[in-house]
Amino acid sequence: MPDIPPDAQRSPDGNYWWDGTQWQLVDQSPAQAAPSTDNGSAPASAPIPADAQRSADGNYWWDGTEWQLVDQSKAGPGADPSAGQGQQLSGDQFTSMLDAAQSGVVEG
Amino acid sequence: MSEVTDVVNTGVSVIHLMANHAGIKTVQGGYANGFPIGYDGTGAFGGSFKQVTKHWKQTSDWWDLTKVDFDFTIGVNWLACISQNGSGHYIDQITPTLEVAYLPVDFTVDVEANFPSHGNKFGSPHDVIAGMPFTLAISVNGVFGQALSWREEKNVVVMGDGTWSWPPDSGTTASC
Repeated sequence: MPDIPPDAQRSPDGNYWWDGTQWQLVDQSPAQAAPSTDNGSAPASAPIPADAQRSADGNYWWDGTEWQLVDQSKAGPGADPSAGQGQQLSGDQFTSMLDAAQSGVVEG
Repeated sequence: MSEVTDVVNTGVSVIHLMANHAGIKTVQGGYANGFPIGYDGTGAFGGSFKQVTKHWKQTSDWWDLTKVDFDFTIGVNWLACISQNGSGHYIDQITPTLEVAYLPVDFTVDVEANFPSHGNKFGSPHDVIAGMPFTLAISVNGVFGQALSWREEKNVVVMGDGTWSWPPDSGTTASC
């Protein structure tokens, strides 16, 4: 993986940097940002705020201090366990999402 | 009044607007118009603004999956029903618009209108209805684990009598 130039543009969530052609994943060391699995401090039953930042794989959420494991068993009926701000979409899914979002042209 | 030979755009040829979660920026602004050749609009009479808009709002199904919300509206404004020396239906101040209610971080919306130097004549030789066709390109870029892009380009027409076409939709009721 190439070194990240110090002046490289970063995505707002800090997970990607722009190499001049495309977005590259920031190779975060476990100590820096990888979701922690051994802290044991997160109460598994703690409610996850609706606006909580999620990890890219959707398995962790940020409590403001550290990453907490998402307790999938607490997900509501029909909840997608991979849902979250870090949800990965394909190009086709992105297109479908925007196509579904658009309304017809109206006057006024 | 003598016959109008051509309808021309003496305004800008490109308008580019851009928005992200931080706000809306006019990258390249201005207005296009559709007047008889050799006429700059001086002495024009009347006119009424028309606006058409198209709305993008996240659906609940996709929100359930992505937990990402967005809500923005893109439109076209123009001043129709302008007459010169008592005749004609010309157009001025044609411009795309972009309004944002909400965009997530990592989202950008670009709107670019490309106008020709000439428009079209409709109506009769002595009561010309100007038409201005242009391309309206809308691009949305977002990051969902990877950089993604969506683009739509439409051939839009606005008319001096207030009618319009933005495929697949159109407004055929004259408003002058």
